[in-house]
Amino acid sequence: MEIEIPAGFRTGGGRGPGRPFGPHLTIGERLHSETLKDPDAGLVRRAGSGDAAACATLVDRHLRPLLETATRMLGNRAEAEDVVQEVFLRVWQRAGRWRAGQAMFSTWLYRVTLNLCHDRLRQRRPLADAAEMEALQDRQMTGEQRSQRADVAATLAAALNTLPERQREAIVLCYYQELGNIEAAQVLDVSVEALESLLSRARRRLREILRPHAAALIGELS
Amino acid sequence: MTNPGMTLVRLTEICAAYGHDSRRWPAQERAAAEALANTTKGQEITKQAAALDADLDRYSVSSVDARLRKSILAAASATPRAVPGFLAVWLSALRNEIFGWRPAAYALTLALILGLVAGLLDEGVEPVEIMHLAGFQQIVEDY
Repeated sequence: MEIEIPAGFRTGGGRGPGRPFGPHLTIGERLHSETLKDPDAGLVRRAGSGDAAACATLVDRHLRPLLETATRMLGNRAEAEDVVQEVFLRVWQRAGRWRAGQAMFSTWLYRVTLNLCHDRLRQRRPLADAAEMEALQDRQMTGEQRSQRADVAATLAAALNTLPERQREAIVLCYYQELGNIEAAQVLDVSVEALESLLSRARRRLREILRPHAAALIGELS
Repeated sequence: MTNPGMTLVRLTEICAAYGHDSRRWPAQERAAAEALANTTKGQEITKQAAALDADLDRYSVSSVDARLRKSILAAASATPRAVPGFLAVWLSALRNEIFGWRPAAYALTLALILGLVAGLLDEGVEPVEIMHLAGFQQIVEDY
């Protein structure tokens, strides 16, 4: 059995008509050209045959961005570490079955990471929603009494965690991880247009959430 | 250089989605959007997005510690590798060839049960022997 790849990941995938990319390339054609140049393909193949150096290179290349992604998705470092360990465990188990050309390996890594984050968020959803809103309100009331720098970081983390999951994923991938719009759209299995919509809504909502904290944020910056 | 496809409306959309830093803008539109962003009206648009970006940049995540990296690499050496796809297909076909005995095993079990029942009708067998037989059938099914 091969590693299962969602439909939108496949070469030439993507939904909707899409905006043309440059004078010649459609979204599908661009995806195809990108998937042919996977910088991890050789490493994954070697890792699949037990090459320790290849495993170490893959970890050094991807651990930090995946950990950052999981931490920002979950708002919890310990859980994020569990998630990335699980992601790499799957890599070690399945590297031998990886077939280059169907999807970028990094795209698959992000997708698995987000899926594992989804599972954890689903398990704790009702409790977390209430706790996050409470934490945000608490910071609003006592913001001046707290250490300003720590409070700003916690406020931003809480604000991010109040976003709907898809919007949070879009912000984490595009803003924090600086993925290109095409790869981020592939990870989320949406069109580039849908990704832009998610990003715009996320940023609008973040601006609204953070507005009451503007004074503290400006204070921290100055 | 200006691009006829790039407008202030589109620049606003880009900033609303990706923020003010052009490194995050769509690669195919970046050059045209940057050119427009350097105009007075373009600067007003990017300035609005820059405020939220400055806030978002406050949220940093601490770096990876060596313990986590070590743990992941230890798992790599301890994890059994999956066989490559082509090998899995070949092994699967081979298994079907060799282990195509499953229907035969069921037939054999059924024959044994029928034989035993016939024997019971004739001689009367201790209940414990019937239990052994049921256990054997279960082992065959589990296998």
